[in-house]
Amino acid sequence: MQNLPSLLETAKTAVAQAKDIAELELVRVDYLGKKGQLTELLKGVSTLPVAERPQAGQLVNQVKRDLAGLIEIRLSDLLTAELEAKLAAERCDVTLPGKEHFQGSVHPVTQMKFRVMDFFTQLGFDIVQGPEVETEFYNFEALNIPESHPARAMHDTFYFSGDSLLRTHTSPVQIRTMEASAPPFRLIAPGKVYRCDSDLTHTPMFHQIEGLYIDEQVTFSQLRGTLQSFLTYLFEQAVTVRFRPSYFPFTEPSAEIDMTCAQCAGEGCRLCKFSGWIEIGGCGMVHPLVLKSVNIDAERYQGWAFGMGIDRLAMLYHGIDDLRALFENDIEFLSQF
Amino acid sequence: MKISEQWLREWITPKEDTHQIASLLTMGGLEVDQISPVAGEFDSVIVALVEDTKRHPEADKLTLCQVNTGQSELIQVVCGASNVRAGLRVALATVGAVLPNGMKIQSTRLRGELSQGMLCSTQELGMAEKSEGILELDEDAPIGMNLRDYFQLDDHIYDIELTPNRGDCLSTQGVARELSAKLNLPLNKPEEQISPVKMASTVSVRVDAPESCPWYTGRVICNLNPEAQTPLWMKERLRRAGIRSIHPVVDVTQYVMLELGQPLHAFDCQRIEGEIVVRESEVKEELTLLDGQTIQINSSLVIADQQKVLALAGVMGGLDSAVAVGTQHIFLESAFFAPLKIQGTARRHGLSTDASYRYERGVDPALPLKALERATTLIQQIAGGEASEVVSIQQDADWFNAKQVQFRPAQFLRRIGIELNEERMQQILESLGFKLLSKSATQWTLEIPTYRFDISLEEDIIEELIRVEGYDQVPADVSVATLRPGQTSAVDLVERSASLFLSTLGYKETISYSFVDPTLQGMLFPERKGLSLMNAISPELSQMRLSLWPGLLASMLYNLNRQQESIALFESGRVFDLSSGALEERPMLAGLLTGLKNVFAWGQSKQALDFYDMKGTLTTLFKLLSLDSIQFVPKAHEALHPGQSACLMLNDKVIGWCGVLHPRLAQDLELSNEVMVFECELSAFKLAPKKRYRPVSKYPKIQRDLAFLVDDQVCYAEIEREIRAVADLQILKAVHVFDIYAGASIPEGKKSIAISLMIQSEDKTLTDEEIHSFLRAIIESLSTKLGMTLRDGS
Repeated sequence: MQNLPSLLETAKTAVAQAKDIAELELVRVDYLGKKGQLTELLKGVSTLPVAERPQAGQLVNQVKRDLAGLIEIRLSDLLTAELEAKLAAERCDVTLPGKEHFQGSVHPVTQMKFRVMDFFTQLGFDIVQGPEVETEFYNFEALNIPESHPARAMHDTFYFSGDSLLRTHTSPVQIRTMEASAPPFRLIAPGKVYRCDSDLTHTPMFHQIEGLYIDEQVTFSQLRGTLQSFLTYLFEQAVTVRFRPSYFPFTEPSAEIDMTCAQCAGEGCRLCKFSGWIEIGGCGMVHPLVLKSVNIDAERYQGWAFGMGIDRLAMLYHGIDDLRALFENDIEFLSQF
Repeated sequence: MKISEQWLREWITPKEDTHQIASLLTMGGLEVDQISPVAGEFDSVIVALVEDTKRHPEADKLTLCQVNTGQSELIQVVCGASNVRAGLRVALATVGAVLPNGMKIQSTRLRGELSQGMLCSTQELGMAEKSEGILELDEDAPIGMNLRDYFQLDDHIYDIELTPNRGDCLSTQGVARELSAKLNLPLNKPEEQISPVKMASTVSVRVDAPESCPWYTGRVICNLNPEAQTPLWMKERLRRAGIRSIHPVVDVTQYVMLELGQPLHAFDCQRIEGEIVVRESEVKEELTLLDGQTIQINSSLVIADQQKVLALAGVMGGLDSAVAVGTQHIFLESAFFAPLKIQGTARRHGLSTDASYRYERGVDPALPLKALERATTLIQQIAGGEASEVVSIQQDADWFNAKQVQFRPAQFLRRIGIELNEERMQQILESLGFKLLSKSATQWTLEIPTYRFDISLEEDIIEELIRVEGYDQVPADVSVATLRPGQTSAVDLVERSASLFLSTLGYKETISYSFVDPTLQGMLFPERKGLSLMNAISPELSQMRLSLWPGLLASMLYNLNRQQESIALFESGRVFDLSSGALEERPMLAGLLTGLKNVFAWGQSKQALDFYDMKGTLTTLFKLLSLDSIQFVPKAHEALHPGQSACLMLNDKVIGWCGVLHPRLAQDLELSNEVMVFECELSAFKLAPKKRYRPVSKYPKIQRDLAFLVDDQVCYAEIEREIRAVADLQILKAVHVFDIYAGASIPEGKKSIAISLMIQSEDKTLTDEEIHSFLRAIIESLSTKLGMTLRDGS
């Protein structure tokens, strides 16, 4: 019992010198375990005279508690040190690049097509499709463009043997839809069209969007309103639509659709040839002969149609200045969208 | 069509400036494509006379000219042009002048000789793209006069792009008429003069094709001065319209065409044998045209004499009967030909001339005689001569009867959506040449001017009104419509989800031409027939695609050639299939994958992308579209590796293919990496069915892994099918392969396959005994049906 103070000192040194949790555990077992030195001392208390027992017991227990407390503190320190060492060892260079996936993209023309479709479906227009290989009838005759019409020469048409050809515009979809059901009609027909022309500003295939609205009270003025809100939506900026008189055999009156140049906001720049206006399509009130060709009463029903190049809209929107880049499919180009 | 502003201003006198007039024309439907000055910017260039010339003592090609500038003293100018000579009137850029190309004229010494100016060519003055030698002025050009004044160069050319319906605007008169309506200003028409008739016509005319030639007029003009020259003002007007001066008579016919819109033709009387006959061509007739080419005439209207064809009516004259230097007697023709007839003639012979262009679009049937008189007057002013009586053969044809159209003013508001009062309507229509024949409370009867071939319906009148009133008067109004959602087809919706999904997975969308190279297509599909274009742009773009693969492969090759190594592309679009006999256009979705995976992962070895990378894309896509039931059936395809190709089946129908490009093709295309492709029909993907909720099980999931030895020929689909056939599907939640191994420790012809099963009950915790018997049934069945043995340790 007289060794108790020196025992405590030895134990303290052992706790302080324990390098890790395992060594500390050995120290704990050595002193506080079932057969540990302090445990043995405590057992020895019962051999002392009865009068000395309470005090001796108290002393040993006190030392035991002190030692347990010291071990606890040491354990906590060791745990902290161990965690810190682990964290230090696990440090990585977070500025190294992540393990990325390939980045894909949707073609800018397709993206534009989706946006156009979104706008018009919200206005209650149906999306319809028609064949790309068409007949003379649907591509021309039903649209009031007879064989002899000078406007046919303006359509550089691709022909197959027989009566078929590649549609030169999306307008035949109007005819097919109107033939198949009864008015009113509100539709949008996006799709590929083809013209036998290939140079800096023409590709032999391009994309058009056709719009048709036939009902009893549909006016030219509403056409302008619809196109103006459409283009404002599309270009995300205030856009004014200008109608310029033109000629299409299937509309009367007919107009070219000009909009405020999106690049210079109408101030004049090279893109708009300093006019402040960009031509983006054609439109007009559906010609009564076209309505007649699909057996619609032109006295009761009237309406408008328009056609626009989706490629051109995409080019204007993204500032693409080379039409041919659209169909070369260069990954460097596609990756930009 | 090119038209001079100055000329236009002779017909009408608006206060608007050059650009305002262009804008008025454009906004009236005559689109001014370009405004260009008739000459470059320059000043201090004057008319001067070369009095004397001598060779430069130091240079063979230079001439020393003594030039009279109208001042008392001559000046010396060194000139390099070969056409400089004494007595020539020239354009002299005086010292201080700045030419359009920026050149400043200074007094200088050229090889030691003083030069006090420069003699100019038309090119140097910006009056022509190209020219040879210096400009030679007429003998009466006033010496000392500013060249800009002399040529009236302060003028602009409007290049108007006319729509095909406006044949009536193919003349100065026509454009002026439009402006007059737009501005409500009067037209100053040139005075109509009737030339005195000096004799009977020595040429008689017979019209054998009255349908095609409703009106033929002509006259002889004799004893023209063969020395006559086209006056400068007329030459300039022709030049400004892009027409070269040829001969005074020809120049007048061209001038009158530009002025009034009536094409005319002059024949040399001495080349006409007997009477002129307007008739249909006969079989095997030939004609050498003015431009020198000889054509076989193919069922066309011709102007002939007793012996031969003289001209292709309304298109081009013949060389033999053409007016030429020395011609003294002419027969001048001015006729109305049926537009369709001339169009047919021009098309059949591949010709388009100023005359045919006008006739096709319709020349005013009331014009021939007026134009004939106008041309006679001008020819006589320039070259003298005596005019004969006019020969005129006019049919009693519908062309000459004024047409009428009914118009209800109320329809204007109904179609356009804005009000226009009736006084204004009447004013517009009258300024355009319409006559209001009668007027009731609701309906007007209008007479259409003879030159307006494009007007026949009420809608045409409505367009005229709003065109002149101004499209800018139409406000942007809001449509009022029944509220309803727009419909989109399943194919469009599927295409969209698939596009977004594939792009998220790293694929880039391409858009290729629908016509492809038949050679590449033939390599891929040697057994299939493609639809060929008759007039392709090039052989490489001549056959409609049977598949999206040719386009994807072409895009891949394009990018491989540009140092791209790993490529993932997709495309959606129609293919054109002839296999059922009739053409079917089928919307397809296709993709291509080649190169390396984990390209962006550093510190790891890069592995080549393989079949399973692409298959993973597809199966994930199909899950997204709720199409779990699509099967990959091993099957050979002519374009694919026979051991790495699968047919995609949905409900026993082939809906597409996928696989690795056949090594033979890869070799032909010089590809170093494997290329995976897929293609499937978009219409096969119906919209995902409505999803129904099912409760999530609260009981534990148990995973059991089993490894088997199995014959190498047994494919995984059979194993999974067998497992699903025997297992209680209420508790089998998922089957996964997690390892395939063959090689060391595995017997020859066998493979090891490790399968993980996920088991869970909806209503209880499974006991060990239940799990055991579940697995035992599977193991036994795989053993008896497929000869699979469980490996040790499982």
